[in-house]
Amino acid sequence: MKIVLVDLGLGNVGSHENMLSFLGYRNVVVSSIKDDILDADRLVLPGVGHWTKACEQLDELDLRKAIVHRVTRDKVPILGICLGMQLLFESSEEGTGRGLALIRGSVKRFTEKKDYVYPHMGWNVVDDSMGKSVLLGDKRDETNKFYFVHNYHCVPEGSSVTALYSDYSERFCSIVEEENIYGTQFHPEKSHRYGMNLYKRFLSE
Amino acid sequence: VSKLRKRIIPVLLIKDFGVYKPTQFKNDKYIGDPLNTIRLYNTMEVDELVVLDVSHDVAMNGPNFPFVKELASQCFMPLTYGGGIKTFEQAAKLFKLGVEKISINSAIWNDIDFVHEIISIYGSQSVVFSFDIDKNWLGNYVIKHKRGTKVVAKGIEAIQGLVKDFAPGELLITAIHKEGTREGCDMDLAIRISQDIQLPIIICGGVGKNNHISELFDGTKISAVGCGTFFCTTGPYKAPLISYIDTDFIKRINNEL
Repeated sequence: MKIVLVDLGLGNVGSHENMLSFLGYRNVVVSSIKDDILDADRLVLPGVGHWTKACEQLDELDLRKAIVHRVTRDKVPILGICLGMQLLFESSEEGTGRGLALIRGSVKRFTEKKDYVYPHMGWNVVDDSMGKSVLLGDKRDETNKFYFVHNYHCVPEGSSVTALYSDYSERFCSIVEEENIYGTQFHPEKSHRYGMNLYKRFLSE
Repeated sequence: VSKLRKRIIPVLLIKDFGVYKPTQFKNDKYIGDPLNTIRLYNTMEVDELVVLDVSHDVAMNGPNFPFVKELASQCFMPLTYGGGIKTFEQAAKLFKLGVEKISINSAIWNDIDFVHEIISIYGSQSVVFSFDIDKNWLGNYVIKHKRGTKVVAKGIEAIQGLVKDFAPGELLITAIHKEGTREGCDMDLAIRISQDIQLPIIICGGVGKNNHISELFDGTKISAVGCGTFFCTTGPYKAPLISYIDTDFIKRINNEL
């Protein structure tokens, strides 16, 4: 199984590589080349950074079409993480540019509230009572907790998506799933065994 | 009180490939091998890790990338790295290796414009501003750099301006006069620093028992604490021992028990 970590030139691809190698996956390729994406069995879209810059990079590296093609036509599973999750959507309040639009909806900034500091940074839980999630799995015998760092969050539209929520000054979508498209607002690559387990579930899907 | 979940963060000081623990920035005591130490913190599932490399060579020539790469490959928690960062290229390379946040200290007082570029590309959450604060003989706060050997600013007011101008994502505040003393944090400093700054702030220096951590979180808006001595030594002679707080304590301070 060829796992391609899409490298947009921003963000922490190294952390993902480290975790996947620790988990024993051998065929992991960090790439910003179209051809790699077109023969990937799993796509991971990590992302830390600015929306506008990321959208620019998708075009500059000429990856947009390849990703959309591989995901919508060949139904290859994709996992977008943090900004990578946001890029699965159409637009963002953070900047200009169009996302991959694999999922309908947009990205919004937290409404700042008194006594809350932003970015939302640190460990938080996902409310798993709302729906069946592939990423969280069936056996919920342990509390899930994940590491978050973000000012923006996704707002999915349409009824075909599964959205799970977390709470920080408001309820926000922290996991999104639609067919072979997955996204997490938090960082599984930095969430100890909780993240490892989630990664394993995605890769065995 | 800040609504962020509290973070309890081991802070590792590294010098020439070893972990050291000073007291009030002096008398560095050897603790052990950094990779082993990180693996232990991994199994203890610490919230985050801060690694500060104070090697002379790093201060002069910049981060030792192969070494950082090795450290990062063992970190399955967020990693902040500080030491010798002076350029955008160095920061970019660190992020690529698996470092989440870079901590900037001495560079704040020299040529700091490269921070704008880092933030515009990697986002503000990737930059931590680190300030070492001491009390002078009059009992007033001063900001020092170069491992506490040089005063760069009197008072702590300069921090607010820097935060406004550069918009880092987080502050790491180390109280030099408390560091390694295990007598509790400088509460007055924590209160003053968090009064006007709406950023996540890590307070470091002075923690010697669980109560010091609850005191800090109950009495201030601070949402994160950094511990060196408390998590890597034990007993009156500060014998090396890597430890962390238990999960129940973490749940308790977050009101989850």
